[in-house]
Amino acid sequence: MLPKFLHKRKIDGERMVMGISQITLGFFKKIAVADSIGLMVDNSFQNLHVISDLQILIAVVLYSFQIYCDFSGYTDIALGLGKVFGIEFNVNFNRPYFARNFSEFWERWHISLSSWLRDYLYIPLGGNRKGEIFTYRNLMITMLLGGLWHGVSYNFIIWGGLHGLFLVVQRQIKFKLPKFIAILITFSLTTITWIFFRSHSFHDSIFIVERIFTMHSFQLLTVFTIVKLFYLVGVLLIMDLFFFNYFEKNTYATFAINIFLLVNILLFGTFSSNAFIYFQF
Amino acid sequence: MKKFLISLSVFLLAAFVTQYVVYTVFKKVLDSKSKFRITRYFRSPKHKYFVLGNSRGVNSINEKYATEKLKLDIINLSFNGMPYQNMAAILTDVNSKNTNAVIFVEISCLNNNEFDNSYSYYSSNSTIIKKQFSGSVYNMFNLLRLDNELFLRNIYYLKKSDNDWVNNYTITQSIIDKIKTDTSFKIAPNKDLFATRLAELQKTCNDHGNRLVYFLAPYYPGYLYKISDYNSVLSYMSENSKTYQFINLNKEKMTDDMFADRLHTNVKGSVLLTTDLVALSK
Repeated sequence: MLPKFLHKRKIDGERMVMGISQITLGFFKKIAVADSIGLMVDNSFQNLHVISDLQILIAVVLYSFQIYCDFSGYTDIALGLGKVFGIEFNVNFNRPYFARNFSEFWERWHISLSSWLRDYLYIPLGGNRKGEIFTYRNLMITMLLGGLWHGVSYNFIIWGGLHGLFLVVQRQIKFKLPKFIAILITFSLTTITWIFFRSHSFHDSIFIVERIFTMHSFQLLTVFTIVKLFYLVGVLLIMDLFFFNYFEKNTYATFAINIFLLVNILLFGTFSSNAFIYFQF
Repeated sequence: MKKFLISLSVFLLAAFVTQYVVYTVFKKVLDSKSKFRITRYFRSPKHKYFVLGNSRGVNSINEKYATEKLKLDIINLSFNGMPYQNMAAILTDVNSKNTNAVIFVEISCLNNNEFDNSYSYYSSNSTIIKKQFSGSVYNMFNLLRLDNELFLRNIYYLKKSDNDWVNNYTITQSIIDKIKTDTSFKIAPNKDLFATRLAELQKTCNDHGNRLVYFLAPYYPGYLYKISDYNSVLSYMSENSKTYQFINLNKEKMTDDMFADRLHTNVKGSVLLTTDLVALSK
């Protein structure tokens, strides 16, 4: 990345406008989606023993979107600022929840970390060049250390271990699932791994998994908030599906999308100070 | 660079105008159509009886029952977690638009010190609320006034009434069992502040010729011993009975099936309390 700062930079009005668009998208993801979800998720994870199973399930699913929007929003703001100042950074997220399997997920999620893990751990360990068993070993070691990169905690190790396990298992699956089903399964399994990433303790993680697989209680405490959050997640998915990288063109449509996102930020944003989740890592 | 600055200026101007237009359209439609109780009040502010308080006020006084069965002109303006400052602003507004009204205030909300920005939603409806938000960001970006639950509730109540919004379930044995491990709390953690606020509200109502009736909605009987200042609050209200009219609804004969949880009554409880509160206040 450092050489990018050493290049002579030119002022490019077109790129600067694109940068502002990407920053707008980043703020939408962070302030409107991630931080709004964060309030509900934090409250739910602090009151696991009081809220219903359905409320826990919704909190877990929404957390998947919180962490995605928090981190990719942060990346969009950084990339957008880079464009404004004439520096091009590499893309770090490429619609990860539309991945059809875990290999694809890691090609789309936190690309800077996954590339580093691939280049400096997986390949030096031998990659897939020494037969099946060694490939599985290398995948597990890489993902376990990837988990440990986030912090010294059993939960992060389990999170990495589960990703390693899913990468190994998917190599055994020979048949091809319909695209939508494959995306849904990958997303669901990724969401389960996030439980370990988000929980305060291993005990809490197991409690959550038990609750969402038994589903006995269904009262929702914050219906209005939940409806609002699903709307925001809907907007996010539409953006990812139909308007991904919309900021790479300066058209009237780009302008209209920016205004739409800004209106949503003002209408649904959470403006109390919330640090980016990845600042702790 | 010139193109960038022009684009940025156009973008900011368009954003500013759009947020104003979106706010104006939403507010106009909701103010005229929504059946959410506080919006109903601002559309038609004159009534005989008013109720103000937090969720305990919402769940103890049943507006639908009072209107349909007791034939009272009543509106329950209580809202979940309503802080004192916001409640006082609405009460002042009620006073400025009514005379000879009876205003019931549930006293457990006098202790909530947090100021809730959600009420900026009504800053265009009330000069008193507008004053509370003067100089804030809500003045500049109108759309921010809709960034709260009150806005969502206004949308939700576009088609349905909210005058029967009372808990419709019964306290469970697990909640009753859990009381033992609950920590104790106070109705008035700061006694001086509590006294000042009682006096402030009383003065506002006296100045406008309205009658203020303080009341304490029932707690689940097995939970009362967790309120460490319950008796001292009652003593204070009794000592000042010449200044304040006070009704303690915890004296009512309440059964378990009249409670939704430790703090709130349900529909069955609210029917009894509504009848009794109105009768006792006369």
